Amino acid sequence: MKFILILFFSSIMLLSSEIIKDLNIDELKGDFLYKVEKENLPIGFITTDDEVKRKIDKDIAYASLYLKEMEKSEVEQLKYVMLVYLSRKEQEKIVKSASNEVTKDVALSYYVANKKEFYFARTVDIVTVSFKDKKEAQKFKINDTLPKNSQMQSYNDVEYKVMFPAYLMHLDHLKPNELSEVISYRDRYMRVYYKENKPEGYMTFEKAYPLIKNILLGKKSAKLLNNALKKAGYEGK
Amino acid sequence: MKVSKLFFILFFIKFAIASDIKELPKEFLKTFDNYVSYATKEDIKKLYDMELSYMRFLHSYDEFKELTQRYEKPLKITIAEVKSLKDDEILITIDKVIKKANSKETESVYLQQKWFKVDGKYYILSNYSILPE
Repeated sequence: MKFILILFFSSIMLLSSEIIKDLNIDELKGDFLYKVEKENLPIGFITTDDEVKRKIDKDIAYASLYLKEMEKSEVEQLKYVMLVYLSRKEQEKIVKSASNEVTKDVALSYYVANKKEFYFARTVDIVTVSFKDKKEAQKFKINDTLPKNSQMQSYNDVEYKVMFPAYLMHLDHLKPNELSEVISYRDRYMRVYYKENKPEGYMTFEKAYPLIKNILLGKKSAKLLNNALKKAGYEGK
Repeated sequence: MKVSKLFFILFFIKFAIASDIKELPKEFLKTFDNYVSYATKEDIKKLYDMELSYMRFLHSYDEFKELTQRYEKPLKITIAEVKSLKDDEILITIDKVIKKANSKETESVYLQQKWFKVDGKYYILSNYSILPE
């Protein structure tokens, strides 16, 4: 991505100002955004209209910020914006044509060779119940109705290895659904337990397939776009 | 005493490595033999087919050709060491014998190779990072 940006930025210097120096900047800006909206350009693998617009706006904002820092003129900012626009159109064409090539066989080879990317750690749902009164805390059992002035909080899908905050670290011996002893914390009394949730494992290939498709198309489009820009003479330094 | 101890250690290491190679699956050894045959004949098309399919999706045949031609044509390739052996992943060190530049002599180059088993077949993962961006 950095490389592409460098290519973009360096290309600004190469574009001839003759092309657009006499044009009305505001008019062009309006025209550019109109085109984006009218043509309903899907960019990369972004599918909704809003996402397309947001992506373009982000690029424009980023380019403007960068160029402002560089004290570039509005003409140069616009040149960059146009370049982004044209490049994205080109990128979209490439992605569209390559999309069918990411078959399940192709994706499976990525899945096998990069399995670590699809690993998820063991997670648990952790529940803390706090009481104002120590006796109530001592009497409490899981599934009991909570007495007044008590609070229950549940934290879902917490990674097992990091589930206990520092002040509860000594409870890491707890088994699933085993209630902790009463813990005095500030002016309240707490009981803690956790539920067995998801064991560690790997995302199935079926679930990973659409993600892999995006990863590969992203890599492919970035690479082909680099090549296209290089061919067009926008060589990065 | 010291020399004999060293000899024993060296013998043990050699034996240990050899037994590792023996543990490699038969299908893999067959694939590796094919790889050696294609590499020594510089059959780039066949070598490209041995690449993981996602790498073939990302890198064209021409890029692969460029990558392959950056290396000296191997005269002989053997497995020097099995670094790790998992169900669907094999990491080996190969001993690649090549001709020394401007000389009739040969030399060994040791390289690591990663192979993956996808859908029952073994494929190699080449390192394209040496190609210019």
